[in-house]
Amino acid sequence: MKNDRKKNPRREFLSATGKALAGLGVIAGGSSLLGAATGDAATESFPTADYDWTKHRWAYGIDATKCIGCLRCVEACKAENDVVRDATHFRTWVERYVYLEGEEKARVDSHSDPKNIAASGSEATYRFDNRYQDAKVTKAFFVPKICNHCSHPACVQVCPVGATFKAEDGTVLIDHDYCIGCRYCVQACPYGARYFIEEEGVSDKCTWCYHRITKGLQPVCVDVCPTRARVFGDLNDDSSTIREFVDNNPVQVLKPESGNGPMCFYIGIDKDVS
Amino acid sequence: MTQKLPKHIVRLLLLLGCFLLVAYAAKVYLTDPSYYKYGYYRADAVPELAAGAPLYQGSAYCLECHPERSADWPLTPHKAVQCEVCHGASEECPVKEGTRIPADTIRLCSNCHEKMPARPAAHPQIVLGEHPFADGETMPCIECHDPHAPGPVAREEVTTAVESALAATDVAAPPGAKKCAKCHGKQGEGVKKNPALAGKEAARFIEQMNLYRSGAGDSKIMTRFAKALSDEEIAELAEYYQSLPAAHPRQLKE
Repeated sequence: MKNDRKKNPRREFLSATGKALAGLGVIAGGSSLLGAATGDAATESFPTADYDWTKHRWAYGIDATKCIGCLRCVEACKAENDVVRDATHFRTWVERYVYLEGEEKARVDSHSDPKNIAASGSEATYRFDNRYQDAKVTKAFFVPKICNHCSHPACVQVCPVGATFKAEDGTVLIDHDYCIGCRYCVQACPYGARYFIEEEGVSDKCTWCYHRITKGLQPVCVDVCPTRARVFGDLNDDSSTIREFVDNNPVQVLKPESGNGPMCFYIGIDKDVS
Repeated sequence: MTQKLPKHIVRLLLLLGCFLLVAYAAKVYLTDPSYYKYGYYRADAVPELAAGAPLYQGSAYCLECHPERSADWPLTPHKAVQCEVCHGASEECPVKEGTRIPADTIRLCSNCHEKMPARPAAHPQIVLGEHPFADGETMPCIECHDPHAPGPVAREEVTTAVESALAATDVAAPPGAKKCAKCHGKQGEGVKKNPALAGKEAARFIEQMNLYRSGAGDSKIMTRFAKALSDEEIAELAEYYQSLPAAHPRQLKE
């Protein structure tokens, strides 16, 4: 038996290739470590001269009891971020939950519903129709939604090329240069927060208006909300509105069981909202 | 005592080695230099994403050139409504076209104020088709409401307040005066763009009301109110307002 094993050519082959691969692996690993080490130890602030991303931990708050469903957030977001002006591409949206008398499940619709498109006149303008004005409504509310910029984002985990990533300040960003358009992230997101740009062949998502927050502005959806249903701020800053929002309210997150650790905190939503 | 590898296996190994070398070289040369800087992503993407110019500048930016707005707007129920919500993104105003609100103010205002289940009850809402006129006739919202300082809140409140506050003179206030007072002031003193009625010459009052009744007036709402009044009612109102003291001599000329 022993002799047989030693003379087994397949075993020899496997062991030889194994060693060769291990050798290459060491070289590869070593050089990538080297690559990582050569990145300068960053004394200057990154990503811009006025903004150091290690000093911030952004979070988002939504008070659903204040939302009036005017959709100015969707309108402004599309303009600010140059999002395709149709019903299926959006970075933020608002859902309407309506419970009719005798029904247990909520009826849910958003701006992409055909009746709402008809009410707004086109897919490039946003408005809720008034279809429930004569119905017997037992409970109804609006829920603004947006990318949750999760602490452990599934979309980042599934990206095969490192095109989407979690920045040091908590935002989940996407690098269009590296995106290969496989759409794994669109599938992986439990919140449906991502969309695919067919023309460019890349996925896209909310960045919390990264070009604004790095200049000291608020994301545009927060800025234009006429009822202040949306708040945004830095959890590292004890006097920020988001700190006040999270500390002084019973907040909840969407789909906590998904394990993504969402960073959008809600007030006033029903258990059916997910 | 290793047995020499067969030739075809050696070739295979060499091929594999070449493939791995090419793959590794490709990885090294094609990977962006900033790729591993902060993690498994291209660090240079972050400043790129941070670079864009904001389109929405915020109300503070608008108020720099329109300081007159900082007097009324921050004190009103619309204080949380940024200029750009109704006027659109300012981009690089002051020369920007299209910062005017849309011509259809009913549609613009009803975007937030149309009565709808799911809107919070405390939010001011109207039933389109019942407001301002129960028969469904419409009128631009800004005929009565100033979007920069909106109100009144509840019509009933206004009516009761007006009733008790109507000026006491030797001429009894006719019932129609309550309606006038809503826009022209409790004492007919005039409110904002709505001219004063107090002290107005009765003949002039009747003349103007008749103009509105003919449909030739410049105000839709005044036309509507005037058409609802009889000659006697107009005469009563004219007499009543003439009897009230004018607040300012300038208003007499109106």
